[in-house]
Amino acid sequence: MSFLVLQGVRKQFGTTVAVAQFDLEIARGEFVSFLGPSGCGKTTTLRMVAGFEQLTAGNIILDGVDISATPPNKRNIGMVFQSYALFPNMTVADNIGFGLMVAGRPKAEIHSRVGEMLDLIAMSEYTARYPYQLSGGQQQRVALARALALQPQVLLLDEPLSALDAQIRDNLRQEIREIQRRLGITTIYVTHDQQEAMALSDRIVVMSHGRVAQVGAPHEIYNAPRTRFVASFVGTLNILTATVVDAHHVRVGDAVWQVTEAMTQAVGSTVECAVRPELLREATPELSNQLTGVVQDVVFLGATVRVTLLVHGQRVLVDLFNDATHTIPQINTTMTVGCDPRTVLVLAE
Amino acid sequence: MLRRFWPWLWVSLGVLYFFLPIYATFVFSLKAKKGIFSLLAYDKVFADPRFGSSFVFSTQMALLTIFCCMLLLIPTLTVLHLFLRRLRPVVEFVALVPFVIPSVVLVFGYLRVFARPPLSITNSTLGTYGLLLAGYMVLSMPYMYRSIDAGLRAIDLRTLVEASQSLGAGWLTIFVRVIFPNIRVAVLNGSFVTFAIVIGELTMARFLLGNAVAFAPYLAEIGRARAYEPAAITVLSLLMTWGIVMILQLLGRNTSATIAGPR
Amino acid sequence: MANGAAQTWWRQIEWRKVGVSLTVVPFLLFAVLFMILPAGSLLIESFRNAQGQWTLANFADMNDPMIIEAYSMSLRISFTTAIIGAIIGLLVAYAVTVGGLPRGIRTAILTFSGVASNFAGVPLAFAFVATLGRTGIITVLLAQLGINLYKNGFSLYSYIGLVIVYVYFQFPLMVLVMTPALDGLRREWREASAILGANTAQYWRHVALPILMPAILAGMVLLFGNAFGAFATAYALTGGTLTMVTNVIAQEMSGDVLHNEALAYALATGMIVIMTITIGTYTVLQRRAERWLRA
Repeated sequence: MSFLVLQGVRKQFGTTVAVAQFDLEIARGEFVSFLGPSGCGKTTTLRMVAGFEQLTAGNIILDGVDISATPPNKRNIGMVFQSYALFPNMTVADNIGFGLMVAGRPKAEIHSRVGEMLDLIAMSEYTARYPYQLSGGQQQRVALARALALQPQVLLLDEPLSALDAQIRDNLRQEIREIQRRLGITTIYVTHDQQEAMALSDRIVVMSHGRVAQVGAPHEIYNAPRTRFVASFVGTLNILTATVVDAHHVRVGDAVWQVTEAMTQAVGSTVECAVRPELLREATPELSNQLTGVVQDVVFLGATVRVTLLVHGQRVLVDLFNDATHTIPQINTTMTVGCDPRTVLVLAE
Repeated sequence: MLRRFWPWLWVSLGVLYFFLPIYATFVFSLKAKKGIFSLLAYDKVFADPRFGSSFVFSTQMALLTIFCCMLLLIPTLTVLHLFLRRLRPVVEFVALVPFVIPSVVLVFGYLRVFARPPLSITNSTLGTYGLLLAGYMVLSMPYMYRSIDAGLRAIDLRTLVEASQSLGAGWLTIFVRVIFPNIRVAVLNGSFVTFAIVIGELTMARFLLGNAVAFAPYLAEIGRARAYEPAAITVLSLLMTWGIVMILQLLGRNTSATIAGPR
Repeated sequence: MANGAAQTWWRQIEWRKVGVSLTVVPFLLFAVLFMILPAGSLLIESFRNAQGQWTLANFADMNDPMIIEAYSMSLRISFTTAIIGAIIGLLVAYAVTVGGLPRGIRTAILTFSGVASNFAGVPLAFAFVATLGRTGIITVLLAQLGINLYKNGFSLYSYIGLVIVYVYFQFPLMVLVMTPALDGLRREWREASAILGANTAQYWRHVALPILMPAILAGMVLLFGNAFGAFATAYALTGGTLTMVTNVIAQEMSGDVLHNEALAYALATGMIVIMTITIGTYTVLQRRAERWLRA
């Protein structure tokens, strides 16, 4: 049985629909990310789980109990905010111990629990500091410890890393994942950063316009996006306009490409084919799907080299592995690239 | 609605406290003729030539105060922002001093220092007016200082000055054509507060000039002698204050918290 | 050529130094002449007797029933109106910020407060005479209802009357001071405390009020100073008959009553000292409030 269930959840602000229809089942100990652009309803959904927003319709069931109408302070859920939201008038220890203090636990218990939490985030020497004396990354770790101190059934994280510098972001991301694994706590993580979502999650829920666009493991979302929105939001994608030749072939410019999955579109109709830049390679005879174009731009990125090709008026990005034994393509030269038919996606919509 | 009961109650009490005296004053000002409402009190106010003359005097003093404050503060603050950043806390502190000296104490000090030998400034009318002007400048200093400082903070002064210099402008041109237009709104803000302070200022004027030359002492004197005219004048002066605050709001900022106004 | 360039360079440095110092001189001169010198002169004179000898006698002379009454009255009025004004102001500011009233109400209240906090001095005194004076509108109205204020010991021209009048400009000032502070209370703090199990009362007790406390105290201190230095309102209302420090100094200037200049200097010095402590405390508290609300 699923641990946390969202059934037909809907949220309207006046006439604006923030979340149209949201169904999801989360298993105990699972790490699920809500991924989407701003305004897609991911934060609103999270806030409904926390209890800050009332549901317009639907139910939220936690461990078999319907909590849809339970006020936030009775839900036993932990939350970490984008802006840290530490209480500025309390020390690190008081912040972490706040939930226990409010619950009326004995002083000794609070003290030992706060100690454990400080160990968990490796900040034992900061006990007596105030939030304004800490860096952003430290504040967010304290916020995480504060959320976990009450041993909540679910941990909610609302874009916890987006206010931090890149370096700290990567470290803290790793730390969050490790702590989550160690405690085995069911976690929902809201982010607009696809890299973050993929690095952390067991499953990703891609959202768009208040609806679930696709749910799946990171590799499923990346390799088999179901809609054009998902495909373009997660990773970079070349979208090529093509004409259907038969169920397994399309015409792209001069070339005819093979498509593995059978198409249902009528012969002669226009479809959009997508292929990721890193799946295009310099053409070899065994690659059936080929494209020839003129090199417009070459950007050296270290591990890869990004080449922009102009093919029949369409721009195509190609990521080549940087290999010291190969020469880098020159601008204004002609180049032929190809890909495996299994990597070509024909997009719906 | 019931959840908002307490907020509504507090706001209503506040509004009541605010409006009751104003309403009462308005009604009172119309009661100069027994039994009926009339504008008699207002007629009498305007008929007294000293009403006009004292108001004009105070207006002139107010404008002069604003002008002199700008002349004193804008160049000083510009230089502080550009070259003497380390001196800024010192000047900031000096600009706060008027908050610490109540106007009664300040004018007492003026009389002690300037009204007796060797200076005896107050022996001439011009000297007395000059001293009053200085006093007004001190009283409005914190507000003028703060608004000009905020104005200079809001613009990229250094770049503006360097750009003007590279285009060949001299300092006078820079002040008049570049800096002043850019801080105009901020300066205007402080100017209105200064205007209100000088028009309503009783203490300085009362003890330097005696009754009846400036507006507020004249009002105080009327208040002791008459019953209904003071109410009429209050309504008029309230309309004026209201007008000033409205303009301030239009300029997009709240009036700064007052501590040394015409209390 | 090289020589010419060097000369220009030197000339520019000199000009700059001279120009820079010259621009600050008028301001400092003004400050010394019209702020430091008058206040300093009172300060020094308060330590000298009529014969010009150094003494502490003036401060010892302050142990006089009239002077003590003046200070106690001034301090009492300032303290009382600061507390009452702070409470009313805080409640109104709470209502228009956290209270969730419509936006228009908030704008209106802030505009009122801007007007009312500057509506002081002579006109304010007149307004209250028209309201609660012997023939004031409210006094008459209550008399018709059978409540005779003045026969029941109330007088506008007394301590209690002055408190009512002072609160009129005190509480709007508190509204203006507290509104930004209450706006600084972040929604996330309330949410964080809720999700950690706190109810509304616990949130206010452990989070919101402690965060606001420096701002509240700063506001009270500001109100205290605001009332302590006030002169015009009381003067217009009572003609300077109430024994307050400002009135005693004013009477000394008019040449009545005291006839002891040195004592008046000591009184003035006392005022400056109290105001300095007040503003100093205010600055410290304000800085602390800002630090928390910004963090």
